[in-house]
Amino acid sequence: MLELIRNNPHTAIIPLILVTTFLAVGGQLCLKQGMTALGEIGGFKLLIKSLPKVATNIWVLLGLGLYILSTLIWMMILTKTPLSFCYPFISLSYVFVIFASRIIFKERIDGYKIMAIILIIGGVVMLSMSRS
Amino acid sequence: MILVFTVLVVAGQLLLKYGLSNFVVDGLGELMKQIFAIIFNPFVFIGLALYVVSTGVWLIVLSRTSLSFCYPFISISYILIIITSRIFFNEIIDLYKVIAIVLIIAGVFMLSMSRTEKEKILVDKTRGE
Repeated sequence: MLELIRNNPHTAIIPLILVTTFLAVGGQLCLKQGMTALGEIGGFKLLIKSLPKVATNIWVLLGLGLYILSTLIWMMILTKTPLSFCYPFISLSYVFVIFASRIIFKERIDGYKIMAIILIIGGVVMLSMSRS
Repeated sequence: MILVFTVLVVAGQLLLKYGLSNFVVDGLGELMKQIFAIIFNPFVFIGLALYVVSTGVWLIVLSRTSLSFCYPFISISYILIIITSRIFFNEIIDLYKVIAIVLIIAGVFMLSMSRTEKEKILVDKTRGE
């Protein structure tokens, strides 16, 4: 199995896919942190009204920055690999979110989540063996 | 609404991939050098625009339903991506990819069965009333 992954021409790009997924999750968490701190914004009109406050919030800016960086790296990945190979790796973001929620928000990891982690990682390992 | 989101995401990825396949980019520095040519490629541009629109739709969806209800619909995107990249880009779908997708979708379904504490309190409340 390891041999299959090691000899796969796509393997070189996998670390980059992991980085972009990680950055996207980081960006999402920063956005969540910033938006929560700003309080509830009900409706699109209110969002426009509080735009100056939103756009100057350090967490929101950091989140957007990470998002943009992640998108740039994603575009680079798309120039090199088939979409059907790299896209399913995004599912790892769920795994990152589960761990991040545990660490940051102290959310419990129940049996379903453990199963989800195992299945998703299993799927990604399978994917890593695909040469096409 | 969730299905609109899924279709937008998939269409965005397909357009990005189609537009970007004309470029050869080695490293992030190389990408930055060509960034204007890349972003203003019509396919990449529309793809990125769909990205932004789909994020907006996603925020509206989230404000109306719980995340665990949305998850199963999101997993449709993995199936759609596999099928469409076969059709539009002639990509090869081997057994590894198929098994991978099945496992990932099973994982996402597991996630949708897990409820956060907040959602549990909500469910208990509606049951009690």
